[in-house]
Amino acid sequence: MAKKILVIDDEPDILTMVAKRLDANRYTVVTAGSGEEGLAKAKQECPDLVFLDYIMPGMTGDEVLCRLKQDPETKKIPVIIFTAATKKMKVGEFQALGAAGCLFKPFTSDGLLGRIREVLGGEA
Amino acid sequence: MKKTSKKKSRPSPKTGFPRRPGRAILARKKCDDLFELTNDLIQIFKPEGTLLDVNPSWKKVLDYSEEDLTTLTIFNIIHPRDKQESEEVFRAVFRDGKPRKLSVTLIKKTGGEVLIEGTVSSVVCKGRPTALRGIFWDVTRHKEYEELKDEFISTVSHELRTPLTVVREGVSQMRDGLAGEMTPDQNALLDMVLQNVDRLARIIEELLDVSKLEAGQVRIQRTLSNIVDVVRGVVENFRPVARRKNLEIHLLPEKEKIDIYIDREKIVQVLTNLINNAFKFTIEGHVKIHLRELEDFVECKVADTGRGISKLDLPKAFEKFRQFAKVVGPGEKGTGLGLSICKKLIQLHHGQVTIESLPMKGTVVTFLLPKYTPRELFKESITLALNKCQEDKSPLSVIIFDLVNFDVLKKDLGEKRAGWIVSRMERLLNESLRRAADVAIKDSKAILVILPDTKKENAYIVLGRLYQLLQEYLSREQRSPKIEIHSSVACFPEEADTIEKLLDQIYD
Repeated sequence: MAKKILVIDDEPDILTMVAKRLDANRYTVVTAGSGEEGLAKAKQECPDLVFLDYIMPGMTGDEVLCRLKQDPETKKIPVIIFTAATKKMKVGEFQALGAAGCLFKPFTSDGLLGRIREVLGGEA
Repeated sequence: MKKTSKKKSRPSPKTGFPRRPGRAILARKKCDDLFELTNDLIQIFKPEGTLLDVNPSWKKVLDYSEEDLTTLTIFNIIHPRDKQESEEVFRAVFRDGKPRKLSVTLIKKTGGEVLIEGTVSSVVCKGRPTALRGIFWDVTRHKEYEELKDEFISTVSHELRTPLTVVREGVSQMRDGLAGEMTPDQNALLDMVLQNVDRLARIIEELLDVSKLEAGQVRIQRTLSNIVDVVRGVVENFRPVARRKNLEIHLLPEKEKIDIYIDREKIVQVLTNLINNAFKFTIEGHVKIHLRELEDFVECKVADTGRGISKLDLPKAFEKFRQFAKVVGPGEKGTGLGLSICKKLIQLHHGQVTIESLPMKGTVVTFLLPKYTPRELFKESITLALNKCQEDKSPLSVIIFDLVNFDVLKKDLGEKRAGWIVSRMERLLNESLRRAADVAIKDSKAILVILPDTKKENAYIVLGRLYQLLQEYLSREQRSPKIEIHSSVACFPEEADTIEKLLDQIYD
């Protein structure tokens, strides 16, 4: 069965692009345009993986991540932080928060799919 | 009594005009003018706070009138949070006469805050200090600009990268045929767009790197590394490029092991930049990387057989946006920022970088990295943390764990295994430190834990926890001979008010 990925990002264009790319690689995609919506969908849809934008208006990425990790229903879902913020130094901090990995924008399709395979293993 | 009538000004017998005033009078007038007209804030006061005199700028900036001054002391104007520090500085200057820097917030009559920076010195009369003189300048605006610049950097990075992501992914999906099949001509165009999007992304990254470096936001974290391995790792990454361009790449280390305290990640960035440049401008021949150990430095040379840079352009090579070997037509394009970033990263290591080049023969970039003793290494790390604490006016504690019988261990287990134990302990400590600002760093046989914003009593609590953790680890290891750890704590400013005293205390 195709793996299900939830993408949380406040930029609709990014959601469209990522959804298209994941869809073309036979993943099932669910999108959310805000942190609040993302939390609700994570519970509803039980995805195999969450892509989470870090800098969002309203509920920010780190808050969403904390809540996902606190909730027994969602705490086991791996989360990849997806960010346009400064690179490098942050990686360790994300991991300390419980993220399974991170991907910096702008990304390449190889980077995106590679990161998913690292976390989920194997093909879609 | 000596006659002093000469000092009286009489007309010059030559010209008939009044004589020009004497040097002493001129000097006095200069001082008065300076006091009256300068934009700096000048105040003369007693160490206990009574204001004796202030200049017009002082009154203007802080809005106080002559009348107000009769009832005010300096401590009514200094922000309460800066009071203690200022008192200490005033007392110290009055005691030994040495001028000291001071940065405090003053409160205007209207309640607003003014951030000032400057020097406090003593006013000496007949060989004895009688008062203090503070010459300050208003840095409020300057601080605001700095904050704005920092905010600008992070906003720009986010705001530029987001649309760039959409552009890159959109074009990339078209190129991959996700939006229907493309003709070869269309694909060639899309490839060109992708290359340029990537170049734009690189420029943004490097511009941000430069801004952060210039704003002093980049800190280095040294660890003891074998630089030969570090360089080898980078060289290996370039093998595919070398094959593709039909060029040779050689690493020529003088020996296989040269240990030095460096920030690995930053040195990798420097080397990647330098080797990338070498490949970019070399069409045939080779790129060679030489490494050798000198008395106080480690020297690394990146030499190519490329196009070279003319003598005229060479002095500007490390400036921003300088690209001399640029060619018209297709091919890889640089950003013009690489070398200036390299220079700044090497300077952060307190090293030096130089460039030599002959047009059509090749270019050699040489950098020297200073070797540090463990004490120097610890000093650098503590200084960085201490500067931050002094800005926030918070205390700082340091803990040192020393392996007392390291030499016995080294003899027994070999240098590599013994070193590995220290590394493992350093990692354990870093994992168990709870705040991002807390760090543990090691030299060959000791580990230093820096705890910013931590008072002595809390430092002892942390020490207890960490000590237990290390003991548990060592008992699991069950080494023979048994590893003995000695620990000590020092706290700034409670126990030591200078960095040297702090170091002396932990090295005791």
